Amino acid sequence: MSAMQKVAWFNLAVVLLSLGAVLSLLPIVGTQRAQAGLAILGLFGLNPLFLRRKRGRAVFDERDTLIQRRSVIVAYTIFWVAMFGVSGLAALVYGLDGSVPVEVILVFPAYAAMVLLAAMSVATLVQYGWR
Amino acid sequence: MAGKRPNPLENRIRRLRFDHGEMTQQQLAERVGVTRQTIIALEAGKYAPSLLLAFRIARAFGVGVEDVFQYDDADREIAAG
Repeated sequence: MSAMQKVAWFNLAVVLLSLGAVLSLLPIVGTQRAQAGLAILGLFGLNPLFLRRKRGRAVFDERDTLIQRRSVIVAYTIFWVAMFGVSGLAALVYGLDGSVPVEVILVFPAYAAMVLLAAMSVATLVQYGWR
Repeated sequence: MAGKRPNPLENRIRRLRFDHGEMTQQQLAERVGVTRQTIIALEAGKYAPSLLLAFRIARAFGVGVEDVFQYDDADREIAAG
């Protein structure tokens, strides 16, 4: 398994773990406090650990660069579709003359990052062949 | 809809590795500066290398690029119509 595959699996696990934490906290502490589960997303900061260079061995090469480039294109396409979808959903939920609560705006970037990273990870794993 | 086109670039990397003292994929990868996974993908015909990498691989075996990689002319004829 290449370093980039490990990064993709790790990021996907972090997204699922964070989402799981929010969903499991939801019935116990309520919607607002359950968002504390998003703190797990901070684990993304551990990504560089997978890219440490081993003696004389390349961890990243031209094939990985190509796969990453394609994954970014796929992820941004999905991201923008999701952004427009969420914008439309906001109009449905809050009404055209309604207002979006600040607490929703506060957690929105975290969920946007989740969509982006999950899409990028899945696109990466598909191109490597999942193994 | 047409199926996925086969890679028109064939290679003799596996053969050349064995002809060069049973060189391992890892040894070749280290020599040309890529990961072992890329060598595996190349040997399986799942990845077409850049020109630079193709030259590096050829130099690692001490042969010319066309001794390692062969372009399938039948594919070129189809493309030309």
